[in-house]
Amino acid sequence: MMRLPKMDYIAPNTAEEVCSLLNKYGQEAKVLAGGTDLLVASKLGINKLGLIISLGKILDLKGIYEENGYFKIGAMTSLYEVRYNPFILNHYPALAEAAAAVGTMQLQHMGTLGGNLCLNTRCIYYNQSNRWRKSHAICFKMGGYVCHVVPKGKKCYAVFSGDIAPALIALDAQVKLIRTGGERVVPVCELYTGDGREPIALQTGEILAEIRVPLPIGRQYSIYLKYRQRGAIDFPLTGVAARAVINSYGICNDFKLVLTAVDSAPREVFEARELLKGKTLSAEIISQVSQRAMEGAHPVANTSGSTPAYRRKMARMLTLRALTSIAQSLSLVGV
Amino acid sequence: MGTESYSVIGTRQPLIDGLVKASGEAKFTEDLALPGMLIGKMLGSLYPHAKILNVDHSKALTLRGVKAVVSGVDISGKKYGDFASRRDQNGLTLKARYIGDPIAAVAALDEETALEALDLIRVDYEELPVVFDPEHAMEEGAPLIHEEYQRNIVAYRRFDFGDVEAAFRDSDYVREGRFSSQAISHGVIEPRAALAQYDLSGKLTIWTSTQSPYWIRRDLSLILNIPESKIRVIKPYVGSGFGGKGSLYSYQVAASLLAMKTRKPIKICLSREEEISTTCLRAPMIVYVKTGVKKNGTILAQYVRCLADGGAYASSSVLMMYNSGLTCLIPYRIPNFKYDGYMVYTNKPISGPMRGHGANQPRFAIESQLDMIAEDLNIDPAELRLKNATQAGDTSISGLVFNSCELSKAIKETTKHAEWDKKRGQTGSNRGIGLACGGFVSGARLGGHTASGCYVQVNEDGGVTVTTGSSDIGQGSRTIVAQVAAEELGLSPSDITVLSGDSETTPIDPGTFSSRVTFYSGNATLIAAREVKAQLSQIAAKIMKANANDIVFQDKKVFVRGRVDSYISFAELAKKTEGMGSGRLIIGKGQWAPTNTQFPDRETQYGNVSGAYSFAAQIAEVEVDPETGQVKVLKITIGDDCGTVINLSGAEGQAEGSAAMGIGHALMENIIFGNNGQIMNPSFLDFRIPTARDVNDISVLEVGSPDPTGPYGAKEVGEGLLIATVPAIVNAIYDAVGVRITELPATPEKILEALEKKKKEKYL
Repeated sequence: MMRLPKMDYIAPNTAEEVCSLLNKYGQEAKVLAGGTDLLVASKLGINKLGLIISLGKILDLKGIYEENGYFKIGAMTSLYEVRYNPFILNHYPALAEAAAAVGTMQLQHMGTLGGNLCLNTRCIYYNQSNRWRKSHAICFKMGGYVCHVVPKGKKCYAVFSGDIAPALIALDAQVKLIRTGGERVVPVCELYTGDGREPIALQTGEILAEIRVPLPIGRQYSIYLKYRQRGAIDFPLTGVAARAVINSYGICNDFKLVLTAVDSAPREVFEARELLKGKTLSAEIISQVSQRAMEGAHPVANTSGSTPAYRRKMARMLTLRALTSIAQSLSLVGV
Repeated sequence: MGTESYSVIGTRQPLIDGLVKASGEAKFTEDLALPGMLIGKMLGSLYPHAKILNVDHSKALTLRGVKAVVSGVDISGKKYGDFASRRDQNGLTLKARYIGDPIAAVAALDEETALEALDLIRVDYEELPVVFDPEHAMEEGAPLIHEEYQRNIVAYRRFDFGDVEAAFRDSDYVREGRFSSQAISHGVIEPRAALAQYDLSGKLTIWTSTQSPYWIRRDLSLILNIPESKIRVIKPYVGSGFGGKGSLYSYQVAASLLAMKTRKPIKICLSREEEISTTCLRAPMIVYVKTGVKKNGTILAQYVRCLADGGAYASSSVLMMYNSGLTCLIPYRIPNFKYDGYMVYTNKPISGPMRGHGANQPRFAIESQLDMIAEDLNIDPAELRLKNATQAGDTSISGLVFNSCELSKAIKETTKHAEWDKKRGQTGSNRGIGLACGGFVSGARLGGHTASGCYVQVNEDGGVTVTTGSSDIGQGSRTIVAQVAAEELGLSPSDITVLSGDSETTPIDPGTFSSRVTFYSGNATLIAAREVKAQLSQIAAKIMKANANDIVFQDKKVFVRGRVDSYISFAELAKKTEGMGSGRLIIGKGQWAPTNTQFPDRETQYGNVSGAYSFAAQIAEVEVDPETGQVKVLKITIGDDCGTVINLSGAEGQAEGSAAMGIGHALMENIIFGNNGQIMNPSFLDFRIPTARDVNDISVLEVGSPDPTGPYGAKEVGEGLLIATVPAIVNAIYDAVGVRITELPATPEKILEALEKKKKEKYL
């Protein structure tokens, strides 16, 4: 068993305390939500932490409620709770499916919604022990100047492998970020920098407090599909979240398609929205949208499971299946 | 035999150590601690091939809490290795041959300090040219990994029986193919660990996670240069081995050296990364098969060529390459057979024994090719196998003697159970069904120590203590020997205490490997228990005034045959025995090795290496998603001929475990090597073994009949089953979507690519 390196630990009762500690200790400190990603990385020696600040005691970060046209979920809500929440199951199936697709049941109990959104990017050259990495030059992700996956690359290509983010982006969700003396609310997609090295756009001293999902207007369909090699445990090798708002004539009024695990950030396929808007979900349109999904996916060879070419094919196939599934639900209700 | 009714043999028996394991009470090596114990950590090479010019540990020793550092220069003994002819390991090496090759070890007060100290050890390397590809490694001029092995060939085995060339000429149909199988980690649930202690008398005691205290003692004696009798190896509970925990590894050498140097107990526990990268793997192998048949499917000749990537050290090389050839001749009658098996060194982690030990890779190739031949000749694959199946009483062209064999029955029963005729060749369903067969030795006799021993002692209260040399590593051999003793003495397995796996107190036994434990230790226990029974019968005969031959032991009672009502209890008899005359001890001794084996001829390799052979037929049912190439294994049906079943739950457990392991080998498990030979996925996150979600329905049909040599007629069950699972799945994929995967694992991308290619060809 690998051990955690020595570090200080504190579990404040309020978010204010957390923010002020983060301001004080800067890079040395990290917040601990479920720990299913952070502690594994610490054991490997990837991050050298002086102080770990647990969010576990802060009651304000938990809870699920409806307010001002939003369904609000505390960042420390467990993925397991999200997975089985009746309102989420009913109105945001993509979110419930994404939560159910994370790791295993055990990890879903420990892992939190906010934690999964803030998942660090991954790479087969990065998520290794210190000793392992010593056989290679220091890469961008570790603070160096090379990429072992894209040898002539000028940046880090580490892959974002969260299941939750694509679902929430598809659902037009926002996140509330709080800091000492203030807060801001931004769309979930703005949480991501697109830079493999520093993937999460939280500022120093800022923590993710809440997720806000707009209450569904009209007939909204959403779905999340994930490709992984095994029936459990694995991170996605490709993930697709889709949301369609369909009027009673079967016309798509709004549509969003978001990919995960094919880039350093969750990637919305904007062309898909344009293609579908004002149209019905015909087989031809579905096929075109799926093609755009494949073209919008740019995975590199930084996972142990699949080749980039296959993951691109899966972006198309999962999109095809997601949209076909929505089209089938429509036919069931007679649209 | 066969008509006898047993009270314990063949029943479902919970493991006698099941409760302590399930409750977490069982102590594994990592759980152990001794006063004053230090923690050791290993330092591995950063380069795949390099001379170690100097190891400077002066800075590490200045770190508070660091007690000692050892490296290759501290090794005084001789090199060790599984086989005397291939001893190439130094414990801590002076020339690194793969990334991670252990160079030094440190002992400190705690693990954190030991880890910190590793970073302070300065190693001067002189990098050497590297070779990673086994085909390149065999070329003239390739860098030599061990100077004494030309073209890096560490093992070469050759068979040539009959006249293969003439038989190919006489064949109506000949098919050739190339297949390959990947590197796999054993996936043991307990990473290896050792706790070593050296005392003032000069005795080294080591508690370690091993399949063989015997081999550990022998090789430690060589490398440490101390007599075997001055080494005691104790095997606590072990969390599986699958063949990989038989050999001595560097961490055990390092723990011993550090204990001798510091005079403190040293514990070293490997991380999962070290476990995967620095112990051993299933050998990646390229297999060429050429098979000649008559029009009706009768096999006339087979030529098998194997090229195994041995990695940096020999490990079991010579035996593995022998097995790769030998096991080709078990399931089918092959009148003309030729085999060339090479294992070559490369600058990659070590290839060593793993469940099936060299049989899996050629079996995958052969069973795949038999299906291709069956299709070409328009013969049902089950028919083809039945036509060629080995029968009881056969002797293979190479001299293997099959006294018992129910392979035909296994094929018939599995095909019937799985509804083979109905399900095969369903077009359009994307479901497929595939068949493959296998078989294995029940312990190979290839030289060296091989016999098993046992003592059975009756205690005053009627409890029985069995002292066995066998090593239970989770497969359930403690329960098996308890069942044997219980059966003979009319007791229940819970009345039996089994002591095992301590080189000082239990009989010498080479350990758990080659599927030998039930066969060898079972027979040794049987002999010892019968001796006890004979001694007790004489005493009972005196008490009951009857003939000793008429004394029956049953249901904890002892009585004269036919007079069950006037019994005395076993405990009462034990008590009375103590007081007989001048007092008596009841101890039985058993030692056993098969006498029906024939040592292979050094020139021709003709011989019979095992006292009995297991057989198996397996059917896999799969569903393939034609749009993604993903495979779901719906069901595996196993027809198992392990002779007489001793513990039905244990045999089924082996069968189910084989199926799960086979699913992993066939579809997902894959050690990925980087361009520097380093393992890219040394974790259970990235080296993917099947989860409960990936293993579905498994049916086990026991079809065996008693073997004349095995205890109560039992044969092996641990390995022969696994080797059939992989080709059964691959054949089922072909039946489902018409795609033949020849390079394992059968990943979705390979299947999808083949499907796309097939589609293109259709339109050309």
